[in-house]
Amino acid sequence: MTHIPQLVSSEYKEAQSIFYNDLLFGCSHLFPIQSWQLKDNLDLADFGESWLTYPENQALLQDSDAALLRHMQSDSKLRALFLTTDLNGDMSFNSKAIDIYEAQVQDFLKRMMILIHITAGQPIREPEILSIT
Amino acid sequence: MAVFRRKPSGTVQIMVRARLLALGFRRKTLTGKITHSINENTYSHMLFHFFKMFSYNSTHQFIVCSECGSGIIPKISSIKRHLRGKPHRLSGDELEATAQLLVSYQLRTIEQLREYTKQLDGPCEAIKDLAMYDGFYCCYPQCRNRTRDLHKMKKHQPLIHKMSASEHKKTPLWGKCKLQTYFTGKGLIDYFLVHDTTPIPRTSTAAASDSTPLTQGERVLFEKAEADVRKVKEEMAEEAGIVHDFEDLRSSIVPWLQKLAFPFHLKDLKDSEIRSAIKLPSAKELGKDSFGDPILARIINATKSLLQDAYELCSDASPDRKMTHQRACILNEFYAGASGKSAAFRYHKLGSSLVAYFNTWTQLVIYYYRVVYSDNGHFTREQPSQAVPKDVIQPTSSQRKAMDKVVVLAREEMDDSEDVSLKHALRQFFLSLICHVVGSVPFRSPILSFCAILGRSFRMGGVVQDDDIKLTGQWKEPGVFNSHLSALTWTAQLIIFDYACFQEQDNENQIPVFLTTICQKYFQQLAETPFGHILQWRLYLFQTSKNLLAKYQARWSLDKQTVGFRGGGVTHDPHPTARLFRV
Repeated sequence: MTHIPQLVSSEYKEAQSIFYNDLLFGCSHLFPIQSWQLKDNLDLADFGESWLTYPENQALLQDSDAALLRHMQSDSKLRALFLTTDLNGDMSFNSKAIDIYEAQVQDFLKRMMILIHITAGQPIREPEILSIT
Repeated sequence: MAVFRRKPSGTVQIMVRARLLALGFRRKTLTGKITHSINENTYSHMLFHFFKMFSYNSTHQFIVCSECGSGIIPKISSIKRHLRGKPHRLSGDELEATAQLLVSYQLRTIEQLREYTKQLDGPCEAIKDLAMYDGFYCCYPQCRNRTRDLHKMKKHQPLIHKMSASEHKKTPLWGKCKLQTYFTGKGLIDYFLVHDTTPIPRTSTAAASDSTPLTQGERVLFEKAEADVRKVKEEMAEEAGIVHDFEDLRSSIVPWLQKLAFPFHLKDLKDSEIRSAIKLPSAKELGKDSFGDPILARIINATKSLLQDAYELCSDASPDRKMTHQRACILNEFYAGASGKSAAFRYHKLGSSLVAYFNTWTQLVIYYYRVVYSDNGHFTREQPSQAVPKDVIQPTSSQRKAMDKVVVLAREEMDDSEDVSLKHALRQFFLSLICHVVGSVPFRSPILSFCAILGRSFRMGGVVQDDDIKLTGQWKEPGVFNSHLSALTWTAQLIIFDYACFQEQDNENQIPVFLTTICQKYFQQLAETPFGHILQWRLYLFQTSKNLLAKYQARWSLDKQTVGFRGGGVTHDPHPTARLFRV
């Protein structure tokens, strides 16, 4: 049984590292979201509703949707990584870099799924967990 | 986020220490009363709280808590209460020392702040760290009404300035603005206008560290990307107001809805149009000459009057009573092989139920008039190939003829007092709706299409777009929806009885024969008619709602301190009495 806390701990560290270093580009100055201040209502059944659209979270999440884009604008290294010039000479996003970013997102989600699956109460059955993905 | 950070930089720490010493705090003691020592840790916590969490505004002379986005009431007891609560969680020496430090500033009292905002002429500069809200101000000179709620502003105009809110379309009565309030506690909210400054990007500090400017191409690309983000948000908001079917998403399937096939019938229709298709005008609107459609107004009035007359035939107190127990039994024999076993039709209804039932039937008439009878079919198509209810509903020739007759009579009759012929035309129309064989395509029937519409419930969203409130819809709970089916069934039984009494008024003995014929053919569970389907649906829904798990479930928060339920919650309190609060 001692392996379980170890597994949880290592997955947590890994997820945290992916999140801060890869997904948030290691920018420590980004205003951190304070999870304890966020409100959620799991009974909201409207289309497209989530804690992101919950009115009471709006003040906390203001401008967060384009925060990474703005960060990219201010960092020449990131711009060099994510932007490329297409055949017409226009700037566009580098599809390979976006694919790699998306792969990191999936990796992060996988680790989060394991953490939620193991730590949030009784583990749920395979059809239940995989039907929501 | 780590609320407490370890050891801030030395110079700032010295500043705080110096400030504490200047205030009379000793390194080891606190002005006689508290003799516990303040250790290094306490200093660093205080330091953090003081410089990171609080900012003193010398213009307004009050302290803002940047974590909570609100001001702190300038009283030592209120400051302590604030510091004890989330997210500060201070106690002991730390609490005492921080509170003393905060109160040592020159602060205005609540009354003084209120007076100060009254004297402000126009918007002032936004206070840093204080929450800013979108709101509305009254354009009337000298009026200080500011609110975040558009409804309140609309109510304010006739109440205070005797101006109808609809005048706003001609001359603006209110305007949009940015508001701040010093305090957010109950009774302490006092909004004042602030300049609409665009919030400083949260990544702004990064710009200083990297000074390579954007090229023209990069700037264009980023502007395009930000426009895309905004567009996606707008599209999401639009999508929320449209009915979606389940498509291939296994997790989104709701079995009872899938069986009744409502999402497929209403697919891609806008919730705002669904709502307006069955919207019942208020009695006040109907009475006005300016009501847009006088024919519809007359049909609605005649329908209500007809249903009321029909109820008189059953009422025990009425001299025209025609209902007997035998006839009531015949009316209720709608399940297979029910002869003599069913309970009688329960004709007595309380006043409120009666109003609700009659309104539902009137909505059905409105739905037919707007969606089936009118040429445009009420619903707009997003794509030319999209099927709207008018395409699916196939009214019978008798329904069409009856409705044409109703409209002709409603157009001719200008006198509402004696509209016997209009009522009779409506009676025939209603019977033609009930006596309709639909086979395996239920939504051919206007009644069943109307049932699908009744399955939606609507919620006013908080998002204000061009002064319109966003409307989002969702499916009703099976139990709630079933009550509409009960309303339709009961009213249909009443209408059949009314028709029988009218038809056989010369020979009353024929009423049971007529009832038996109609009920056996069109009003029982094995008939492929609108009410045959409705009766089957009711059986199914009774079973479904019995087996349904409670929709709303209480859940523990992640820190196991709060039990949440429908957006509110009960927090665990170390003190014996649990405290209820609204989240």
